Parts: sequence; C-alpha cells; structure tokens
Amino acid sequence: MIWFVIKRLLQSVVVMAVVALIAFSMFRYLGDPVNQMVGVETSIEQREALRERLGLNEPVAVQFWLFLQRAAQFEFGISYQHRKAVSTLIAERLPATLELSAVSALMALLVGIPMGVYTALRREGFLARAFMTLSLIGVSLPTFLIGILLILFFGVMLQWLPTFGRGATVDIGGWSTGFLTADGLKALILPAITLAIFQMTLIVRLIRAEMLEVLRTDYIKFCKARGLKTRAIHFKHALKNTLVPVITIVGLQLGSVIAFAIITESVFQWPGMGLLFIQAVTEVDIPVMAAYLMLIAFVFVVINLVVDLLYYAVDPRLRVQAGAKG
Amino acid sequence: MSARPTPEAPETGRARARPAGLLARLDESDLFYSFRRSPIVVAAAAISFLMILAAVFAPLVAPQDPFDMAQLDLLDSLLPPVWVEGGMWKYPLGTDDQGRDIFSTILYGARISILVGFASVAFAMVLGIVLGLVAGYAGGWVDSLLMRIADIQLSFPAILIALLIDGVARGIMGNVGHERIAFGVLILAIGLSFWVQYARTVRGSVLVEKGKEYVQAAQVIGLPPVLILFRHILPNVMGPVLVIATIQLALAVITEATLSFLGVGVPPTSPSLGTLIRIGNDYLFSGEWWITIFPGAALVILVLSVNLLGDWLRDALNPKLR
Repeated sequence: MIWFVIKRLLQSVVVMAVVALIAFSMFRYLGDPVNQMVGVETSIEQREALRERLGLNEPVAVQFWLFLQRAAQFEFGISYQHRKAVSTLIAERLPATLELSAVSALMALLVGIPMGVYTALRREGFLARAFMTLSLIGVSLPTFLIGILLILFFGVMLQWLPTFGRGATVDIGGWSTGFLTADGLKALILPAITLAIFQMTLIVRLIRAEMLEVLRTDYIKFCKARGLKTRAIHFKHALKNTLVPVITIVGLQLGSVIAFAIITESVFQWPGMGLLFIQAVTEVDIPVMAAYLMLIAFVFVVINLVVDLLYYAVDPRLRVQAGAKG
Repeated sequence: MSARPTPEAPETGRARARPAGLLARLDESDLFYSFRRSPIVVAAAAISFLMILAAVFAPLVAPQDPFDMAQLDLLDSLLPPVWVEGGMWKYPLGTDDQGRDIFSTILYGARISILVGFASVAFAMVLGIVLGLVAGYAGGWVDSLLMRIADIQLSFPAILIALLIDGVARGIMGNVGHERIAFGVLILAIGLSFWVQYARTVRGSVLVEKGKEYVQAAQVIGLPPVLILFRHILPNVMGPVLVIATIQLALAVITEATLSFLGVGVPPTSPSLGTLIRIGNDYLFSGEWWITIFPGAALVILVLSVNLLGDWLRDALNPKLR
C-alpha cells in the first residue's frame, strides 16, 4: 500500500516538473520578457538593470529553480495584456469558473445517472432508444453550438434568460458569487446547461454500458435465483457496482469540465479563467498562459492522484494484485 | 530498409485482388451484409459521401464563389433563406453581411473543415501507429517511456493540448507570421493531441501478434524488424485502427470547428465551418439567425453521419458482438 502511494506521488511530481519546464521555456524563449515590460523610451542601461533584477542573466538552471520557487507561491509576474499581477487576475476569475463547473457537473450527474440506468434496464423500450439517439446527437453537437442554440432559443426568441456575463454578484471575503442574487442565478442557467450536456451524454453512455455488463454477471443471476425482488436487484446490487468505475470517470471528467469551460465561457462571455486563457492565447500573453497551464496541470494531477488512490481503496482486487507483486 | 527482393514476403495481398470477383466477394462479406441491413448506416454513409464530394468539388457545385469580390453584390446582403419572406431563389439559404451566398460559403467551409480533419487524423494515425508498433515490439524502457507519455497526455483533454500548441506557435511566429502557417499548426496541434489512442491500440495488438507463429517464422528467416512490423504485423492490427480513425475524424472536425470558433484555428481568409459560425454569431441578436444556424447544421449533420458510421464499423468488426 505505502509503496503504491509513494510511486503514485513520485509520478505526480515528475508530471508537474515536466509541465513546469514547459511553462518555464515559454517564459524564457517565447519573446523577450524585458521588451514586454518596458516602453519604447527605456534606455539600454535601464533594460540591462531590469534584466539583472529579474535574474535573466543567471544560468538557465538557476533561472528554472527561481521560476519553480515563484510558481510554488503562484507568482507569475505581470500580464502583458492586462498590466496586472497574474495571480490577482486568476483569483478574480476563479470563482466564476468553479461555480459554473460545479453546477454543471451536478446537473449532469442528477440527470445523467437516472437516464443511464433507465436505458440499461429498458434496453429495447422506446424511451430508452430515444435517450440513446439523443446522446449520440449530443456527442455530435459541439459544445459551442449547443450554447449558440440555447442563446438563440431562450435568449433571442423567447427572451427569458440573459445570454452573456454573470449578472449581479455578491462579494464574500474576496469570493464573488452569483448564487445569492436572482440575476446571477438566471445568468448561470444557460452556460451551466451547455457545459452539462457534454458531460451528460458521456455519463449516460457509460452508466448504460457498465450496468449492462454488471447485469450479465453471475451474482445477479444468483440474486434472481434466490428470489429477490427485481427492484432490489437492480438498485441495491447492480447499481452499486456500476457506480465504482463511473465515479472514477466522472472524477477524471472534472478536469475536462474545466477545459470545456473555456468554450462555454467564450460563447457566453462568462468572466472566468477560460475566457482569460483564450484571450491570452490570441494575444500571446505568456505569463497568463503559463500560469493557467500550471494551475490546470496541478488540478489534473491532484484529481488523478485522488481518483487512483480512491480506486485502490474501493476495489479490493487491486490491493490483492499489488500485494502479490510486492 | 534494404532493397533486397523478398520472395517470402506475402505480396499476395495485392495479387489476390481479382477485379472480377471483388464485387462478388464484397457482396458476400459479413461487413457488407451488416451494412445493408441497417438503413440508418446506409443513409449515414450516403450523406457523408455526398457531403465530402460536394465539399471537394465546391468550386463546381457552389452557385457562387464567395471569395470573388466581383461576384458579390452588397445590395443582396443579409437576405433571409428562400422560404422566409424577402428570400430569393438565387440564394437558397440566404446571404451574410457581405452578400455572400450562405450555401456556397458552407460548401467552401466544409471543404476546409474536411481537409483539416482528414489531414490531422492521417498525421495522428501515422504517428500513433509508428510509436505503437515500436513500443509493442521493442518493449522494455522504450515501451514504458512511450506509454507513460501516453498516459499523461490522455489525462489532459485534447482541446487544451491543441490550444496550448497553437499558443506556443503564435509566441514563436508572432500573430502575423502565424497566419501563414496556421493550417500546418492546426493540423499539428489536432494530430498531436490524438495520437495516443492509436498508439495504445496498436501496441496492444502487437503484443498479441508478436507471440504468433508467423512472426516467429519471419524472425527465424532473418527479416529485419522494420519489415516484420510494417509488412506482417501492421496489416493484422489495422481493423481497430480504422474504427478509431473514423470516430476520430468526427472528433477532429469538431475540434477544428471549436478552435476556429474560438478564433485560434484556420486563418479568417479561408473560413471553415467553425469560422462561419463564429462570424454568424455576431448577427444572432439582430435576428439574422441563418448566418450561424446553417453552417452549424451542416457541421452537425457531417459529424453525426461520420459518428454513426464509426459506431457501426466498431460493432461490425467486433467479433464478440456477432
């Protein structure tokens, strides 16, 4: 057990180091950081002084070490585009993205799991087939198009819901939340649905496949043979075992939700990190790109680590295997 | 690779293809049987084929060249589709703000979307197959290194990796220089974010094939590993690869459209379907919905039919489901 954890931790550290190296190379070799910071009238001496102060004359290895130290404190300098500290920028945008992602993930789970279970149990039923067709269409609909269609229908034609921005937000100790105002909640609906549909299609298909697999196993047959109620078999025995891999995948999905938030935020002009990042890519705003990269990589590595460890804890078979090897 | 002729190598794959019997054999095959049986799959195949054909021959099919200024009439700008009041038969799906026929822009746009889709899938496929073959055949540290990289990349979503590659390319080239190589960067970005699936599948199949007798026989007669890999093992692992390629073609088209919609894809001078949707998005609020919705519909129909084909191919080639 302890070896497994240590190995997994080491692997995470290696991944973070590689990502840090990429981020550092972006900083160091894409454009001249000094040129980006000073004006046209800055003299060569001043530039040199700044260069010295920033540590750009040190050996590359030393620079990388300094970069790592600063990255650990989430110091990525000043955004070229916004002329603000990157850490402040991201801290401002973080709540918007997290609220959007959390609400959409919740929506996807609450709708996706029952739909998946239903399609597995009533495989040949009309409604189940309709759900599966819908999920195939959902897979084929790009996220941004879902957003545009929702805007067209609910925003432009019916004029029920706002189509851009977060609406009014309330500031609680530096965290700006849209949950507490009617305006903010209304603004959240369309982006959250857009982001949820993409996850939902995956969850429905996954649950269906897993459930069908479980229903074929021997212990379900024994349950039937023992005369248990169908309801009890399906929801007490089958669903429980279906959910183990589902939890893993959904956990891993949490990362892609953040990535897909880039698209959703861009469609709805949602002032989150994704919008910040896409603007940074088009404007070649390296500090913001590097910071976003490091942050996302960190989130991914942590999620992967937690999911792996959870899996290990939940599935006894893995422990037996590891025990046999070690 | 040596140019030495190898009579032992089964060239029969090509020699066996008797032109007369080919159609008959196709007609008898299981694959064609399952194809014929499902009307949805036949329709999907017909639609994909038609769309690809129309896109490839866009200059011949399209009623108007949307990039030829002489053919545009500003007086005809923002016309609705023909069945809405004010529409004209000359522009069946309406026109955009510059008087371009939407139907023609869709054909030209689909051309670029499909081109980028095919090119990036081909790139990812070649890269993935080569790395997968090497990893599976070589084993040892080469294998673990490649598969670790694959694992790590797989935990990041493709769109993020593609965005990052695009951002780095912009940093190196500058925004102006970037425009000239935008196509290359886009294909590289999508291709690099998709190779893992091929590599994993091919590696898995190679591990199985490696132990079989025909590979041992090839090794015994002293064929070089490159020849064994590409001539003997590769044809036997192509089935799953083709399935992945079909599904990934749909994914690649979506990814391209998404990147172009975000403004980091193809250059604005040669708009793809994604670019058209991005442009049309600005007119959504003033009521000109057709500028966005028709390119969007074209994209969805294309992706959906390719997805249906991929789903069918996966099931048809899967012996477990027969």
